[in-house]
Amino acid sequence: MAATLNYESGSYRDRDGRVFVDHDGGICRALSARALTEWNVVRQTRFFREALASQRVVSTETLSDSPQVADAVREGDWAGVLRHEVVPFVSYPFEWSFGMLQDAAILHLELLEQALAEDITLKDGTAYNVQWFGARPVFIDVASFERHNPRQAWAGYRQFCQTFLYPLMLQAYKNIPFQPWLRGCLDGITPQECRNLMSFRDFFRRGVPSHVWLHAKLQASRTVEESDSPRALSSSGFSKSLILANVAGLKRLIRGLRWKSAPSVWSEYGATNGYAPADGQKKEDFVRRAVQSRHWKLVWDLGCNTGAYSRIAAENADLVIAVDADHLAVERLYQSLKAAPAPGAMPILPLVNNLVDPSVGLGWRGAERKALADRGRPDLTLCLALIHHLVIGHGVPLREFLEWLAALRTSVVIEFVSKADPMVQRLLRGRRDNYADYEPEIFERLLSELFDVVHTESLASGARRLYFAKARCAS
Amino acid sequence: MESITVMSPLLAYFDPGSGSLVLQAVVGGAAGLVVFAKYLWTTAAPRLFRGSKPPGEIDSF
Repeated sequence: MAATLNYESGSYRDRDGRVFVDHDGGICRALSARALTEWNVVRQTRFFREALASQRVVSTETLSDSPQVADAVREGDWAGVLRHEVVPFVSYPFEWSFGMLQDAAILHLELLEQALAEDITLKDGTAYNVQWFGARPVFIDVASFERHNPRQAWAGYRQFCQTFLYPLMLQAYKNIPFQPWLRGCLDGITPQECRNLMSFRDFFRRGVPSHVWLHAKLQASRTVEESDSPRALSSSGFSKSLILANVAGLKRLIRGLRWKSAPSVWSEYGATNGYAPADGQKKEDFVRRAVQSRHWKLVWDLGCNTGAYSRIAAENADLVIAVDADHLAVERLYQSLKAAPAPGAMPILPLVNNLVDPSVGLGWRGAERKALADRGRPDLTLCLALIHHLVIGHGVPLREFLEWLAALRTSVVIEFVSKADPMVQRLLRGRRDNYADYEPEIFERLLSELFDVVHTESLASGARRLYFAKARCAS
Repeated sequence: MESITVMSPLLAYFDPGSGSLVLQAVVGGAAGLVVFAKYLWTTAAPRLFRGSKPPGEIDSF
């Protein structure tokens, strides 16, 4: 029978449950008869009710006698349907900062620990089980919870290592950014790959001998591979207490991991951006005026850096995606948002993303993980002190950048930084100036061609000019 | 809960990795090491005492 449900393209692996979008845009999860039985046990447990109440697990209701259930049952494979609170903006672990991945890992382990106390386990352990409401991580895959067989090991341990532990170790122990590794392979870093990345000195670091070296050794062992390990472990006396000991150890290990990064160019930008105080204030006022002109559903702040303008945008927007290619800048923004009294209350999601090397469609059919614009089109985009880095720093043709923005049908607040500006001078140092398109007159002509310019303002230095322009065909 | 207890092998919707399952005994503390030793005895020992293997099949466990 042809599928009638609008299945989410990233949800297909587990045949006991699949996420689909209903006719109202709601996020639903179809469950098999087996998964429905497990769900009815899990939702009665104390740990699960507490996790729902504390918003560590996504808000979920069981549907009955609804069109969604009728549709799912008609499809043949399903016995029940759950409806989840909609995640404001889907993001992926390869877009998170170190602290975000660390906090998502701790959430995962804490939930597993509390679940095990009531003989419930997590049947997987992937970082893709977590999403963000602002700076608050939330576990979304409620169908991962099921009753625990007391003699069985945690099936999700390897996934946990590959998508949480090893990427964190790579960053903390080797100062190697984990995002390209996770983006390069959605299943994460294998034990063998992680072992190969570790030096002799790393062997003495916490967690490496067991979770990396021995793990790789056992995974490569033909004897282990060819044995019926679950049954052999069960008959050898494996018990829940061993999982709990492992989880407690993983929590200590992950909490102890620190990323000691040298300051990056952009992480210090707030202190070295060269703005006179009056110009900084003028720019803030300009952005605030544009933001206050109407309410915005989704704002992108491209090259967000400290997130100062993201915070202004958040004053009048449902959600701000604060994007920067600089990992350390995003990490600092995340930590500052997390330190706020209610981390989930500020509608800002910081993400590591490079516009000239962005997240694209990945996985099965290139649709399992989606490009940024396919997850939510912005109705306002901030491009402050950005365009010179793209055009001069990366050679992106000015027209193409503006056409890309126009195709998003987004309004823009954009800053043009002329070649007279010291920051542009710095970019031009050591390279031939063949950026004939990078002139204020050409910029203004192109902007007027593609957008309706609402107002503009020069900063006192004279080398920078701000524009607020509306999308031509905004929805 | 009885039916779960007697349910045998672990059936995940992905490959949990045999080595990854076995390692959880090792990282489970002293009690886990006893389980690991029993596991080795029941899986590796029979192979060791079975006689020589063809070249290329020998590994460290």
